[in-house]
Amino acid sequence: MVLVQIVWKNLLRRKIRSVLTVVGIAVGIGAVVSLVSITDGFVHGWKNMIKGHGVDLTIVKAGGEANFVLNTLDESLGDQLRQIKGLDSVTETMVDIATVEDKPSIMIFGYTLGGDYINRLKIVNGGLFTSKDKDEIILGSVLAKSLKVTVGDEVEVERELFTVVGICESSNILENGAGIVSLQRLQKLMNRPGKVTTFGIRLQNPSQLPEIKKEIETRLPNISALSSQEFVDENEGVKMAQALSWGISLIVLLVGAIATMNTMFMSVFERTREIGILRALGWRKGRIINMIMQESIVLSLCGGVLGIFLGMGAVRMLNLFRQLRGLIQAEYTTFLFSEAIILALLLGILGGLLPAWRGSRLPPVEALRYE
Amino acid sequence: MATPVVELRNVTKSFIEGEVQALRGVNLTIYKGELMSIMGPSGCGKSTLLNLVGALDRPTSGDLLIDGVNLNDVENLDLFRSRKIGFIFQAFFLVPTLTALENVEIPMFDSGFVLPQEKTQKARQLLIDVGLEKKINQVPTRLSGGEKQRVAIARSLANDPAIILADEPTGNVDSKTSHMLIELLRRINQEKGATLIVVTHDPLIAAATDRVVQMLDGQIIGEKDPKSLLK
Ligand SMILES: Nc1ncnc2c1ncn2[C@@H]1O[C@H](COP(=O)(O)OP(=O)(O)OP(=O)(O)O)[C@@H](O)[C@H]1O
Ligand SMILES: [Mg+2]
Repeated sequence: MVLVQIVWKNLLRRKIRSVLTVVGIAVGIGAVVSLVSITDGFVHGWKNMIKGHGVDLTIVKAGGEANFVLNTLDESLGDQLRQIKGLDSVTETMVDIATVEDKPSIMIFGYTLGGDYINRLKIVNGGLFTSKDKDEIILGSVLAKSLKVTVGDEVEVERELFTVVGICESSNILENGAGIVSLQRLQKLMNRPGKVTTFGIRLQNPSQLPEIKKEIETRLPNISALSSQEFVDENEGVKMAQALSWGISLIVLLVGAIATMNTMFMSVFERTREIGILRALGWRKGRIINMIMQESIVLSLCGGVLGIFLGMGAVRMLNLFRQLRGLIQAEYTTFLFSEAIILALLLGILGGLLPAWRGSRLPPVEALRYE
Repeated sequence: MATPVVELRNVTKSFIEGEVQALRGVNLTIYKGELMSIMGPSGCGKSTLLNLVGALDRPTSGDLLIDGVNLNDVENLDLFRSRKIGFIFQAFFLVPTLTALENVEIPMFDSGFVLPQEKTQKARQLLIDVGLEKKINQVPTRLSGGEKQRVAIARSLANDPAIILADEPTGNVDSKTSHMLIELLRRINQEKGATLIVVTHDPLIAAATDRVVQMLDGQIIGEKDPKSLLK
């Protein structure tokens, strides 16, 4: 017989209590798994979208990295950028948040006809807008579906009527839920003439990225040139999502550790005499600690594994909701699974420490006399 | 010449910061291979004495030598206890979730490195020795009082201890079973040469031992001839 067998039998002694503790931990871990997988999916989609645009550098206002929607640049900056050597193309774009029909915060992209962004759109129905001044809009497939419109229909954007000329589909949820009009039309619509939010730059030779980034930033003050990775990392939404997952992980760690501690303390108290017996039979303090820690860790790891399944199940459930369909793209990485297991392990260790210490410190004679 | 295996010199033990004086200067020498019993009224300090000899607790003052080693000089009593001492209790104290076999394996965990299969093999043999070959995989609730105590006796032998301490081993069984148990203990004493110290209230049990020590109020007041107890 080895120690784990004793550990296992001890946990089965109070099946309901053990199961409840495992389920409690699992709910916490499940929350982490579902939340993090959704935010990871969001971040991943964001990154894909930016990569999909085929630009190497994105120019935003210095200090405006976190929220480029609110920080605009002058369109004239484009000509200055075009003088820098090694650039293949410079494309101005604008992003804003607008009300479409009854939906209050829809992302609207303003793309330049013939520019990088629009050339990469995957149109599944209809086509691109025909002129930069017409009231025409391309809708992401998810947005089109939820508005129940198709090519030829009209939609109201910020109280102006636009004709749907195309439906596009992208590999990511952000673009699928957005609308696209021409840059000039968006500037007019939003009353921001001559302004853009970003410039997308494609390089002749992508390996020159660090040098060119430096040159742009020294030549033109008050702007930042961000690589795709930097552009994702600096985003306010991404940062918030990451902070949120850290926060919830910490809370789960704390609550889970307390729940485990409660269970383990109860179990140590009711086994006071038995621990005394084990000591009388020659068990070291260290072995008592070992046994109780193992019990705690087995509980928490079971909770961790169950939690992973619970979390994935929760995401599936969310996807069953009509309103959310197509908007949630959970991403399960090995990193996320290891994080969940490490979180469970940590909470088991934290929850077990005090009860184990307490159990090992019981004087054997007292413990034997305990009724 | 007999070799002393346990020596108590002026041993005292008090509890609750001196409020309770359970032992008040005990002097006693126990020799290798002895089968002896300790008698005395409830509360006179028998269990306290046994716990000290079993290295479960330390004396308040005085010297206690086991196999020539003064326990005051021993840092780690746990290891000492697991190598030298076997315990048998009145209420059996088997671990309820474990089978007879697993209970016998318990003392072998911290007594030095033993392969798991060797542990199991040894435990099985000990259970056969106490006549429990048919109950090896039973949990304690499936065993009678006498069978439980036989498991506990097998368990006390797990590490081939020099000294076996039994605190009222027959206190929870009927007289027929208690007779069988003391005969088993006698046999172990003879076959293994282990020193056996039995605390008992039962004169018939004490009469079956070679030496009877009488206690009163935390002191040893004398010895009795075992045969005289049979009257
Ligand atoms: N841990 C302790 N704390 C306080 N008092 C104790 C402790 N252990 C023993 N005592 C006291 O010491 C005295 C001797 O106790 P002990 O258990 O040795 O008696 P005993 O001879 O074994 O009695 P019994 O035959 O009833 O088992 C008693 O008065 C008891 O209350
Ligand atoms: Mg007693």
